[in-house]
Amino acid sequence: MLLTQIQNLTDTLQADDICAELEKRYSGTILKVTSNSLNKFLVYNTIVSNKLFLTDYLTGKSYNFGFTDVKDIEIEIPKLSKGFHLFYNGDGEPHVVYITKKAFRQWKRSICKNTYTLETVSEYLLQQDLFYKVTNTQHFLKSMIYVLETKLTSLMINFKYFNLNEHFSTNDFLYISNDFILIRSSNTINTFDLWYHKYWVGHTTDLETLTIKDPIFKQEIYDMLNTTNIPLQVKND
Amino acid sequence: MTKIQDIHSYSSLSTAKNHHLLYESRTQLKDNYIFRNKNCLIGIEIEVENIRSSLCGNLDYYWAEDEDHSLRNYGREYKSIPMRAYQIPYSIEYLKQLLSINNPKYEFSNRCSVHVHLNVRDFTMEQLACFLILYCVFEKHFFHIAGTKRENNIFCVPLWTTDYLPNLKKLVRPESYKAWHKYLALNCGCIFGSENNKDFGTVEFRHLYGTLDTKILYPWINSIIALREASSKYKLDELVEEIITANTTSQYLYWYDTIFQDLKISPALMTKKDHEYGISNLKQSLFAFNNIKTYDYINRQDNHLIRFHNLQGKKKVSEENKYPMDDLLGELMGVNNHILFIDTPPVPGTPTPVFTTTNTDTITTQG
Repeated sequence: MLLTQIQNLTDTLQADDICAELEKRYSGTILKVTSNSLNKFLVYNTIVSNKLFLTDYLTGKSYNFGFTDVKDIEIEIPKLSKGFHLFYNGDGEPHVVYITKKAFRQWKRSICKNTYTLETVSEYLLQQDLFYKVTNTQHFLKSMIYVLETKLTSLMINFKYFNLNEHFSTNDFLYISNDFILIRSSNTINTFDLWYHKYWVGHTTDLETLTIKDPIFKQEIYDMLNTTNIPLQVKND
Repeated sequence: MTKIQDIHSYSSLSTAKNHHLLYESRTQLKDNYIFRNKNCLIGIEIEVENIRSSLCGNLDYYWAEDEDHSLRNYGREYKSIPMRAYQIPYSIEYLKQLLSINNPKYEFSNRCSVHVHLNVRDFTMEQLACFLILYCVFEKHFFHIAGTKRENNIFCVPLWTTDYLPNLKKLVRPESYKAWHKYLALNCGCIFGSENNKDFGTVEFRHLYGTLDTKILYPWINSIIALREASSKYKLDELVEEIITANTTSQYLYWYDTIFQDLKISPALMTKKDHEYGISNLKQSLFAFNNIKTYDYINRQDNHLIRFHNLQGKKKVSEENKYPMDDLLGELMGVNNHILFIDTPPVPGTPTPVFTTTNTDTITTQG
């Protein structure tokens, strides 16, 4: 029953406190809602007369669930780790964002602008600057939902037999992991920059040899190359 | 060497030494514990619920009772005076005794926590930086003790999930700590004071859940003291050099063994990956922004703007080759925006930057 789920989400059993606690902890945040007919990331909107109102930010559709009459439902609080995340938008285009956590507001329990930072990344090529902090709520929530949906559906790429030249003939970046992306340089069309989080760690021009910029993250780069089997050989400066 | 207490003016510490010495001399401890440094100054805050009968009138030693609005069900917070580490067992046994007499049904819900303040007034800024660096290397150690439940708690956010840690240059500047947020698991805002913190000259460890179990509490405090002791043995440049060159698990384990000794937790919990993760994350924060800066996409009522600066050492793309960001984000999200580009980094005291692309009617800039 939804009421039981809500009691768990608010750590409370007293009916009077539940609505206030729900508002305080989840208003404007993303929740994963699963039922027989639904499996979506929805944004908490409001509670009116013991009904929970949630919005699908991708379609604009609104959902409401009665506390006591909805039985087959499960609500989860999604979490995301720090680093790069890949997402496919509604048109199936890939994008990369950089996510970190905030310690800004004490009450929010799920993903929202007060608890996470979202920075767009894949527009680097066109804009030159890599990390744009998105503060527009609608953009923020949509991107986060795309990220969560992509995480659910995408499979790990096996880079062992991956053709980087072929990939970059139609793409401008390669999402490697939470920690690394390889992205076409904004200066020289045939140079590709390797980023380790917010650190520009190396580049390649032939997509075969990687030049490491300085040794600070050498170990992390070697670990990444070994674990992913990405076809790049390190060439030291 | 200039200490923190020399660069910031603090109110004097009230320890009521003689009053407590008398109490300690006539009290037999049930469960003593030897801390790494018995004279280290510590403050403790313990949140408890179901306190139906206030202890206010009964607290003669160590503690003061306070209301805490983050608690429910008759929640109260007990704040200690600054204590020497050897006084901690006396104070804990004293509080436990009073609670069991006056509120035998006191409880620790998941809203409750224990916050430990460690005195750093006698640190130099360099020592403070070493302390923070070592904390970041071993942050997972502290979260393993506190449990994963606290790791996801928004009241004590791990530094490794954020990018709040100042870079190496800023780590030795007092201003960096004045912007520290209270709800980070390690709260440095109370060193010099910040918007939400008083200036106690302490770092606050907020990780631990509510408990008076001495088997948890004492080793927890001792881990904090162990970190303090270790940080005073390093020079900042040497420590940074070690962090940069550390690349083997045996090296990480050696540090862990040396610093925490009997306090270290099982390798099944504190794994090789945890050690690597701590070091890698720390390096990201210490050295990030060496070659980039971050850019804010600022939302205003009717318009949005992007403040941006160049990648240092990289050639700037000419204005005409730039793709308007509003089109980009609009395409990305299916939302129309009004966006404004600022061409030069805003420097305080310089004239208003030149706006190069706009489709907005009104302009609001950030000062």
